[in-house]
Order: sequence, then structure tokens, then C-alpha cells
Amino acid sequence: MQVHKFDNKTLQEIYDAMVEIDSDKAVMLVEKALQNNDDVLQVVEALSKGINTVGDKFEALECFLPELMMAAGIMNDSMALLRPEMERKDLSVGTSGKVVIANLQGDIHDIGRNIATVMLQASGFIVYDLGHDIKPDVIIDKALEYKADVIGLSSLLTTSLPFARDTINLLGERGLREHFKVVMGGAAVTPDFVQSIHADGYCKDAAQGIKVISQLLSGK
Amino acid sequence: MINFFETLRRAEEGSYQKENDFDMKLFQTTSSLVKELGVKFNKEEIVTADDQMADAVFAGGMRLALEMGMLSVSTMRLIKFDESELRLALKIAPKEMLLGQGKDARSMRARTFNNGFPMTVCGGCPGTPLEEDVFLPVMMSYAKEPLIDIIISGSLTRIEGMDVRTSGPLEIRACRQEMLWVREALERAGRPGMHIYASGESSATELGTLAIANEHYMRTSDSHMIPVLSELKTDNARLSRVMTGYEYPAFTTSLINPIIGGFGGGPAGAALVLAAGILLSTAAYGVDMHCLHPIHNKYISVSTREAMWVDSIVGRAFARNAPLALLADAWTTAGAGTPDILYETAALAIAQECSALNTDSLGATNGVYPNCSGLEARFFAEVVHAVFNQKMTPTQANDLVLKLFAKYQGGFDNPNYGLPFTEVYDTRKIVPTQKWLDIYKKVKDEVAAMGVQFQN
Repeated sequence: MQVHKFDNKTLQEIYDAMVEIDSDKAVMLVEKALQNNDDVLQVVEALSKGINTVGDKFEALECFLPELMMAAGIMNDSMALLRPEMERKDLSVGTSGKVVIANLQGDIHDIGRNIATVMLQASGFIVYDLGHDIKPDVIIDKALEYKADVIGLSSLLTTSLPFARDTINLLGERGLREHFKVVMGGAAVTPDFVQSIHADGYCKDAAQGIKVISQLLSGK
Repeated sequence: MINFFETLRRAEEGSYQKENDFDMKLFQTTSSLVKELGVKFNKEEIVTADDQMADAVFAGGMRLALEMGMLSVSTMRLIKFDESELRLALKIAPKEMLLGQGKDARSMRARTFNNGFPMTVCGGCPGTPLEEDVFLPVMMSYAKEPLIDIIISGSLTRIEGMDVRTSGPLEIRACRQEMLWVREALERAGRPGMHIYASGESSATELGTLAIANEHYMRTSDSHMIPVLSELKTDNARLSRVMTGYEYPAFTTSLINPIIGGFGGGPAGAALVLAAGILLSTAAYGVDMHCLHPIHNKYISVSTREAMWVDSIVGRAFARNAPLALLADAWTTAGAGTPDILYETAALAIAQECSALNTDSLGATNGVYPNCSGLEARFFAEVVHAVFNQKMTPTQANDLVLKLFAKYQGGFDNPNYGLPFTEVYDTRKIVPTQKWLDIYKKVKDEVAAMGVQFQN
């Protein structure tokens, strides 16, 4: 697990507060950094590195899903504070891409998708979590509405996998297949299945999902 | 079950709670109980002999069940029980039941330590997707294994070339065909009365259970499964399954799968959530049996250190405090035709037998590929009987499991999924290929050299 060190004391404290998942302290430090006219992009970097460390700790069972979600909350709260200043200074951190994520029709399991959502957010993706038991046409409509780059489909049920094929087919029928990269993960999903339905990527777990999506979007 | 109509009433009239609030309260309550009670996972003690900690897990599970109750996500209402209700449910839950019919019937027991009986061994391939052309031969490979006491089916994924879909009409057909083929497999093996555990594996919804509630398919001597949603939740689909079993009636089993690293926290918290799930499903569902399946946040297999420990401490907790018929899943990363699956099998068999558990069979490749066969189920049963007959202690068991774990742990990141059934069995004779038998014999000799005293 990579632990980051910063020369700047405030940035180090922001990073540490994120890693310790101390929401009040993190937000207070971000406010302080804004008052001190600290470099906003460096503050964002400290937060991002902090949430990545939390993700690594989750993978190693050193912290747990609720803490991962709290870390995502700190990130959101902090960005809400930083965004006006960034807009005022015409600064942009950019994003890794937009992902619409859903559990396939008939599948009501949330936890794996929750993990993937938070880990993707931690890596700079904007994620629209549609929830569970979502029909193919709704997934596509939402991907269009949010101007997503990627559609992420999850299933723990073998009997929900056919709805992934439906999603791909419907994208083709609507002339939208080239608009989105489609990736899949979840306990019932195999690389062979992903290939058989001509989806773009298989994600064994959330960490691999980040790599796969990043590679797809960078065209590698 | 106290009174199922009372469960339904509470699911409609209980206190309102948002799901996110329930999840966070579960995390806070579990974390607090783990700390207060000193429950700790020790990665060097996968098979535990720690009675004090087992008692703490039971006490913690009881307090968690009382504090949280079960959330119906259909109504967002809490189904809560007081301690006298939970204790009464434990008292009236069956401690021994005869599963199956005639000469093929077998006892399923609420196990305790040193009560003179080994576990009841379930054989089959739960969760495994099977095509129509291999379904019957695969199930025959299990039915032919004499040490298997009860059987569980795989999932039929296609009918006449069409996908079986969640909540679709083919779930009905698939579950009925599944039952017909499993029963044919049992008849052809001369064991027509064998109990079929968790009938209706081909359906994820109540449709499947309703479709087979008929003596032509699921007999009243068989059982069906009613999951608890992670963590400590239910919904109308699950409660409809309870209703089906209540009036039919067949035997019922819960399925509880706490996520290690999820809302319960780490292994210690997951153990408390599992214990609470057993208590709540005993009261709310009135199930006769429980299927335990802790899930590692990264590796699904039950053969991880963390998941085996959770099963072991919970098995010990209930054996000492409130014996119930507990069956642990034995899902492996590896698949048939590999030494790895046999190492995982041996570790799981030893750990479960020495933790007062029964088994809900192997799920090869975590139920993802049809790479399963009766031979690894035979090996599981042989290890169970050897361990039981030599009166292996938990401490001896732990030493062996650690040695076996060292042999297969590399497979979590680089799985050896092995081969499909059709490549490890002669599908006309329904016998293992010589190559698969040779691997089995080699690993069996190796495990024997480690100290497992096989009968033959």
C-alpha cells in the first residue's frame, strides 16, 4: 500500500484526515486551505491520494465498505467547497471519464456495485449509480442523458446475464454502440461471457475495473 | 418460527427505517460489539478452539439481532424480535430431522462437539451453470457417490436454446426440469429417496419455488432455500418463499452470506452478522436449516483464511450455546481436474467437520464455470469421515488446514479453473477419467501423509 508524504503541512494534514476518515477535520482543513489561498489543485491532489490509500486499505481488509463510502463523502463535501474557487480561477482537475453503473434486470445485489462506484469515484471518475434491477433501455437512456463514456453492468445472478446481451443488442439497434464502452463485473460474469456478447471489458474486481476502464478510454 | 403471520405483520407495521441508515447503524453497532466483546480474527487459527471467543460471538450475535432486527426492503419496515422470541425460536427449531425417504433418508443434526456423529454431507454443484446436455450426467456423478448423504443441484441456464432469465417464464420450466433430472439421477443410482437440498436452484426468485411445490417435482421430504439479503435484510420475494414452504410444507433452509469487509466490518464483525442472521432467520423464516456462506470482499471463495475462520467460530458458537442444523458452503476457487480444488476441498472438509458444521457441498470455481464433478465431492466426504474417525482435535485440524492453505493460496489471484465435467468424466459410463483419478489419488496420498487417516 502506497502512503504519501507531502512537504506542505496543510496538504499532509488533509491527506491524513482523509486516510483516517475524519470528515469534520478534513472539511475544516480544506476550508482553512481556501482561507490561506493555498494551491487548490494541490488540495485536490492530497484528497485524491488520500482516498486512493483508503481504497488500498479496503482491498487489504484494513478498512471496510462503510469507511470507503465515508471517504467518498469527504471527497464530495470537499469538492463542493473547492469547486467555486476553481471556477473563479478557471481551474480544472479534469475527470477520468463518466460512468453509468447498474445491476442488471432481476439482480438486487447492491454491495459489489457500491464498492465499484466508490473505487471509481476515488480514481477520478464521475459515476452515476442507477441502482439494482435496471432494465436495458433505462440503462441506455440514462447513459445518453448523462453523456457517459462507459456503461458498467454488474450481476451476481447467472439468470440476469442475458439482460447484458440485451443491452448490447439494444445499443446496436438504436445506433448507439459506438457511443459507449461497455464493461462487466460481478460474481456470475466470466471473461468468456463478456467476449461472447461483444462487450468491451471484463472486470474481475473493482481495482481491475479501474484499470480496464482507464485503458479503454485512453484507447490502449 | 414464532408465527409467520406476525413476521408479515411486522414487515408491514414495524418502524420505518431508511436502508442507508440501517446499513450505517449495522456498521456502528457491530464495530462497537466487536470492540466491547474482544472478538478478534487470528489468521493463524483458522479452525478455532477458543470457547470464550465463540461464546462472545454468540452473545454479540444475539445483541446485534436484538438491536437491528431484519429490514424488509420492500416496505422499509423493521421486523424486530425481543430476546424471549429469539430464544423461543431457538428452542423450537429442529435439532434432528430425517431428510429424504425410505432407506435413502439421512439424519440432519444440530451438531455439538463429540456427540458421536459426523456431519451430514451434501454433494452437488450449487450455483453452477449447467446446459441441458450435461445436466443429467453431472447430477448422476454425485448421485453415484455412496458417501454423499443428500444432494444439491446446479442451475439450468438454457431451455431449448433460450436463456433462463430472472423472473421470466423459463424460471418455472427450468426449476421443474431441474427437479425431474435430479430425481432421475437419484433413481438411476438406486437412491430415489435421497433428500434434494435447496430445490429450485435454477431460479433466483419465488417463481421457482412456487413452480416446484408439487410432489411431481419437490417432495415434502426435500427442502428449498430462503436467502437473507446482505446484511440482515429481506423482501417480499423472500417472504413469499417462506409462505410457499409454510403451506406446502417442505423443509426450509436459510442462506446467509455476510460480506467480509462490508457493512459488518472485518472477519470479527462478519461473524457477528452471520450469528445474528442465523438467529433472525430462525425467528422470522422458521427455517429448519441454515446455509452459511461468508464472502471475502475480494475473493468469493469460502476457502480464504477469513471465511473459514468465520464459519469455524460461528459453528463453535452455536454448538456450545444453541445447536442448530448449520450447513456451510464449501466454494472453491479452483475447478475439477486440478490438484488445487482437492487441496481446497480437504481444507474445507477438515475445518467444517472440526467446527461442528454440516456441509452444503462444493461450489467449484465459485459456481461460475461448469467445471465440477462427483469426484471432488467423494474426496470431501472421505476427508470428513477420516477426520471424524480419528477424532481430530481443532488444534490438529488447524495445523493441517494451514498446511493445505499454503498449497492453494496462490490460486486466489491466479485461479486454476480446471476443466468442464465433460473432460474429467467419461459421460457415457459416468466415471472419472483416468487422468482425473490419478490426480485425485496423488493428492489423497499427499493429504494422508500430512496426517489424515483415510479408511481405504
